[in-house]
Amino acid sequence: MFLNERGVDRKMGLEDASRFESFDLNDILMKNNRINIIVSKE
Amino acid sequence: MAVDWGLISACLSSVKSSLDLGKFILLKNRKIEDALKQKEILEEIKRKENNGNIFLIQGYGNSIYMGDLSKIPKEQKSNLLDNYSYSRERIGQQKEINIIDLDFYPRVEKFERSQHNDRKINQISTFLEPDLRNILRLAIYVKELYDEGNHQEAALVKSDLVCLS
Repeated sequence: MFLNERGVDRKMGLEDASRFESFDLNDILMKNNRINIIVSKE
Repeated sequence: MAVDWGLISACLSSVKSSLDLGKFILLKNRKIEDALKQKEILEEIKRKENNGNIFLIQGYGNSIYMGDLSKIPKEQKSNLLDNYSYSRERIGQQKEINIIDLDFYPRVEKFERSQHNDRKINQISTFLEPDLRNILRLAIYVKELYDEGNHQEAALVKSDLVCLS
């Protein structure tokens, strides 16, 4: 799943778009021993 | 090829729904610059609703996850904090978590690319608190930059080190 400046990757069909993967924070922590959290100052 | 606004709208809506549920979206094999563009789009949508705080997590390899800080369940935030806080009792079991300001990220990325796995250093750094560990890694980096003749960059990183210590 990827959006470009104008919206959706042209190579991607609607079916692919509806099947993007989502995770919760605990899943991410379990899968990765090292993570960088990138935040904005705002 | 015409832009399919229906498709765009459907995708944005499903991404937004996942973020609102406190989930992260995995952006597979994307560079951080691409992920930032995507983050900007969703931030703009969220801004219109006057809520949301989109941020990115960079994991192993090229995996980049995007989430909304304001929607993440409290217990998951506590778990993150538990891993982030240094604990002598849990040395070697905790995850390495770095919080990086977006403006500072390009310099961090450059530093990360320069890092090589040094077993001797790793043996020591495991026992250091995260801040001290970073100071050690940066100090080694400064020396390497000086050794390579890159004095300007070395001085810049050295000034960051002074701020840290």
